[in-house]
Amino acid sequence: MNRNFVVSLKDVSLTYYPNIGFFKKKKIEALKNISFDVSRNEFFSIIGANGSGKTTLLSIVSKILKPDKGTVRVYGNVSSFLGLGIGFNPELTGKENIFLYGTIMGFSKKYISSIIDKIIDFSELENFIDMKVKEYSTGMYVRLGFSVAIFTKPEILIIDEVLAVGDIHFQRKCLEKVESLKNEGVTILFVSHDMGMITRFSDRVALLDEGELVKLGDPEEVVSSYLSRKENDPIKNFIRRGSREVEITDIICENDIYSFYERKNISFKIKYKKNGKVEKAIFGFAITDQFSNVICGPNTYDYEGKYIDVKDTGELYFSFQPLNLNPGKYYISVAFYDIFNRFPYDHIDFASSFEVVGNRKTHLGFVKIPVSWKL
Amino acid sequence: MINFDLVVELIKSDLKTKYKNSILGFLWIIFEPLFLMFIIYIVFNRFMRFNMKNYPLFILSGTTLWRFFVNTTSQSLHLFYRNRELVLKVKIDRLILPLSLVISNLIITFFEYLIYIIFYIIVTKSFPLVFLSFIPYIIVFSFFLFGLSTILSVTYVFFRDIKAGWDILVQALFFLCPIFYPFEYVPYKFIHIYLLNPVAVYIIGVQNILFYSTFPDTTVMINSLFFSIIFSLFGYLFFNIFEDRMVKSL
Repeated sequence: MNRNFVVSLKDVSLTYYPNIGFFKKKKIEALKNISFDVSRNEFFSIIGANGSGKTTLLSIVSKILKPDKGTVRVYGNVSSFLGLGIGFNPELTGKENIFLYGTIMGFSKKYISSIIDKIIDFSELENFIDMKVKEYSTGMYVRLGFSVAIFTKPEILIIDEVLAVGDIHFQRKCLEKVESLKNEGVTILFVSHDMGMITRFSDRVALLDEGELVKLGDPEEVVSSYLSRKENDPIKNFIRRGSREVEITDIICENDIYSFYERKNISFKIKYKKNGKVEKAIFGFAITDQFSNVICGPNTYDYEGKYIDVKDTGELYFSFQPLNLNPGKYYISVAFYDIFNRFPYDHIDFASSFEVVGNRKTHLGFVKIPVSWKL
Repeated sequence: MINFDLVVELIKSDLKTKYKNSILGFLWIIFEPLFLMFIIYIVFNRFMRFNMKNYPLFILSGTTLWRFFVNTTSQSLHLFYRNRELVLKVKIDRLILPLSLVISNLIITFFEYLIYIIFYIIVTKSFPLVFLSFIPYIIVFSFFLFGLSTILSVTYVFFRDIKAGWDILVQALFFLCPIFYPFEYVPYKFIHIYLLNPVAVYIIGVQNILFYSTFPDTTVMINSLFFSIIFSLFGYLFFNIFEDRMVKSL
């Protein structure tokens, strides 16, 4: 058989039917007629907004989901990291979980016993390995998961988002490991929101939008078209709650990339309208990283001691410099609350996003705080 | 091909979490059935003056199997929900989940019956050899449970209402099983209908072996095997038909 590709998808479609019920039938077309081939030893990345079908696509290649239509061919054994530490039992110790998770990843017990020292060594968790996993921090949890998973001997490695968790030091170690696997001839399918990582490692990039493959090819080109696309994107993927007595009608991001070279503010314009009899309200926003950690949440009352006089329709602006933030992608939540800051009139999570870029070292944690040292 | 290492690890993990964190730990295995036996004994023997030789032992032989049935099926309802990460994010043979659920409960039940046998020996000062046939018999019952649990766990993903319905059915079944009264009390004309209840059949079988120390008669034996084969086969087919749809609905 003469072939130079190891993964081949042809007209793959998949539809979800959430709300299973007799009368209500909602459907979500997660993937629509996707076709592409991945060559042997290629680093193939998939990008797209949340809900664009990236994870579904990886699940199909991993044979976890079957497509409704189309054919999937995969040549070679696959290891999928769609999440790390899947099936960990928090009540068990780190060591016991290595055996549990290892067998879930398909290792035999004998194989795990033979490599357990290497696993513990790689995880750098020697001192915690007999502690219950429920006492681990998220970082340690992920570290243990990755250290087990990386000992698979795949020909095709599928990685969904998982490398971005954990501290910088360990992240780098993981990336080195992935690179060395690639040098050994492993084919890699990769999903990430980190555009820097995507352009650095990928041979080719595929862009998904609402289940459709809209662009495929050179990393730089696809990434820049994705970033420019996002700007004229209406509000998507948001989670919304509140009484709507004050309703946010539009959120416009005037520049959604913050570069450390230019140091130009990131500014937002909010349009709202009044539906009820509200006279005063508090307006606030929050910055969230891509793992839903809230970095900060300024509002007009806490920061300025001010309420907003709510007009029938109105506009307001806010802008800030994310000086202390690590490079990466961040989400903006915006909200109108009552004057006691208790009941939301309108609260939209993930209403917009911005990206912090710049040739600057990342630091440990979420923010860099001003510190005075005495050395 | 089933990954038995994984089955073993899942069972170990399940048993460890069940008993590791409690002060009494494994002693609960003894305490739980004895408590239920005690209550039934007080109510039926002392309050209702129901008399039967070795009545506490009789109750214990039935309730233990009953608890195996109730615990396994009620845990099976949430099975795929509880383990949705395992279902959605790794490639494993998903039938391993109901399989290890049944085996893990089987192990506990086995210990409970060991306690029962110790009591039996103390009370009657004998150990009938027919007890050995209990081992294949409980395995036959486990196949029935495996099939039933698989069906329940898959159905629950589509219809949550099944939980409420199941709870009611289980309550009714308790009275339709010879747990606190002997099977002989069932009037002759109802026997054929009565034996359509699989759980009653298995309880009669276990009582024959472990309480009356005889082999179950042909009808009970045939029904036991029949239910076991039908349910496990049907469960297996049911799972294969609905697996993909279930995964997408999780």
